[in-house]
Amino acid sequence: MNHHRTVASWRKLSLIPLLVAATYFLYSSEVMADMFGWFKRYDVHLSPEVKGQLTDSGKPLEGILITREAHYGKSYIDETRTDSDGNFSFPSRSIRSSLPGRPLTEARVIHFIHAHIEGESYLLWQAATGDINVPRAFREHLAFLNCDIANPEITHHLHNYEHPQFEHNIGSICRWD
Amino acid sequence: MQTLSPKIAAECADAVYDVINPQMASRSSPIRSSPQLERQFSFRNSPRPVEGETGGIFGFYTRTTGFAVIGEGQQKFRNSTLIAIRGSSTMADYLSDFDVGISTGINNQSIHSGFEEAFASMRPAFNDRLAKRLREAGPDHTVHCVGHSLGGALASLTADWLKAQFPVKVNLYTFGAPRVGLQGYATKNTNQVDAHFRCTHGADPVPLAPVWPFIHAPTEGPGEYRLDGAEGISFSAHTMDENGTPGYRNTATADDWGKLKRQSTRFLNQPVRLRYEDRLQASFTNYWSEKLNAALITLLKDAGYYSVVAGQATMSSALTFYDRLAKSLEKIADASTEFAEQTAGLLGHMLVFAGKVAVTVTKLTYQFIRWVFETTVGALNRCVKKALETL
Repeated sequence: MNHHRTVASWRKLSLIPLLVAATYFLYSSEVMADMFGWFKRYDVHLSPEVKGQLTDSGKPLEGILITREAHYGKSYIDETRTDSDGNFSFPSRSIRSSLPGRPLTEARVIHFIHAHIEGESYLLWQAATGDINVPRAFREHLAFLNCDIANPEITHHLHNYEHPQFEHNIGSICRWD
Repeated sequence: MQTLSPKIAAECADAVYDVINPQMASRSSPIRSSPQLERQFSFRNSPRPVEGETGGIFGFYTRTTGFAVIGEGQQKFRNSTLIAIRGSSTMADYLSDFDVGISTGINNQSIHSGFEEAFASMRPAFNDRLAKRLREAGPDHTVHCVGHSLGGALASLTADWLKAQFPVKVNLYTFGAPRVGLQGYATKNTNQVDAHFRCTHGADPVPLAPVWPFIHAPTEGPGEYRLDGAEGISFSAHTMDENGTPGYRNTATADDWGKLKRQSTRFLNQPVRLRYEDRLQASFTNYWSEKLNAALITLLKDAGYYSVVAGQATMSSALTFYDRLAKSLEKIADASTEFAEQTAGLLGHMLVFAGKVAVTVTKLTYQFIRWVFETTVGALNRCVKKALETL
């Protein structure tokens, strides 16, 4: 067996090389982080454009508060009110986030839309995805969010274009034909 | 006794990440299920996700975050309850600390103190939600505990707690879970849990942590379900959802466990002796992590030190454990040329594993041996930490 050298003792190191080493370490870990994209920011699409109509047994509901809540690392909330025909809409919403580049972050885009009528809230849309781009099925269904508050809330199983072996499971009182 | 399919277990472990913000929860169902899961379990009687007690670990499992969902079985699963627990990357520090705290948990066994604390913060909420149902359930009732990552470790502790509290059967399903406790805990957990399905990916770093003396349960039987053929170490191999590479959702698609590959722990109870000259064959992989583990245990057994060292593992922290271990190895190496060579073989491989190819093993002193341990454990921990890092 070889007996060539011993391990350097930390005590021999003066302060200066230690500082140099610390600086190098900081620098190199930043370079590494950059290499792995941990500081890179990504476009995260929380919601596509939403267009819908709110009715009660077919009758349009006017002036109703509609909230759109999206969560990705933190929460983002938008509000609007229905017009005289019960129509409402939200523009698409995106954020910039470094979360997608972080190794092992089980981050989800969680998306809720509610209608608030006399202290009651009605679920128009409940969805979650690990995809930072809006899944096609979400885009298609949120463009026609036609909801009658007389309908019970159910789970819809939408076709998942991006991952056809799974479904999108959506909670909503709305119906699509 | 009913068993969740790999596909349904993976869906539950994935879907529970959707309840992180209970302020946004639906009044009727915390998660939305596939048609298959919908037929088996209903979440309507427990629509709010389970939330932690104030002052939970790092303030993460606090009243403002949901960490688990509880489902009531129906149809074929009417005599079942489901508990799914999500992971939390804020516990990365706990997992990757060289000085892992060891505390005494359920069954008086030594477990990771961070997991114990986190579980303690959720136990009252579980008790509130489950006690009545499970006390009245009867001995044929099965509780299915499911979790990914740290959620898997917490599912293990939940399973032990359930077995100690209620006369029910308990199945445990984990994906990419870390090691929860020491030998005594793993043995007890193996004996108590009625069926254990531990799923891993070959390159997932999290199941490698914390390093020995922490070990995985089950210690007997099929061991683990290795869901892919990958080697090496890769962060993305830990991902649960279907956008991961490969993503546990994508690899756990079978409808029954018999179809999945079982892999016994490769070196479990097999002697491994390493020659110093061969050290360059080592590499920073899951395979070598397991092999080095086995070589260390073999050396301790060969020298008659194993039971003494394993006994020391009940001490307060991993740091003091590695300290004593280094002292024992110094004595072993001093005892004979043969043991000195075997020790040098182990340390040489450990250094190459940790990327210190240029360091040659010379004096087998306590200081040097301890430094090798620190370096090797440090290399693994850094990797796990990176894998778990978040905002």
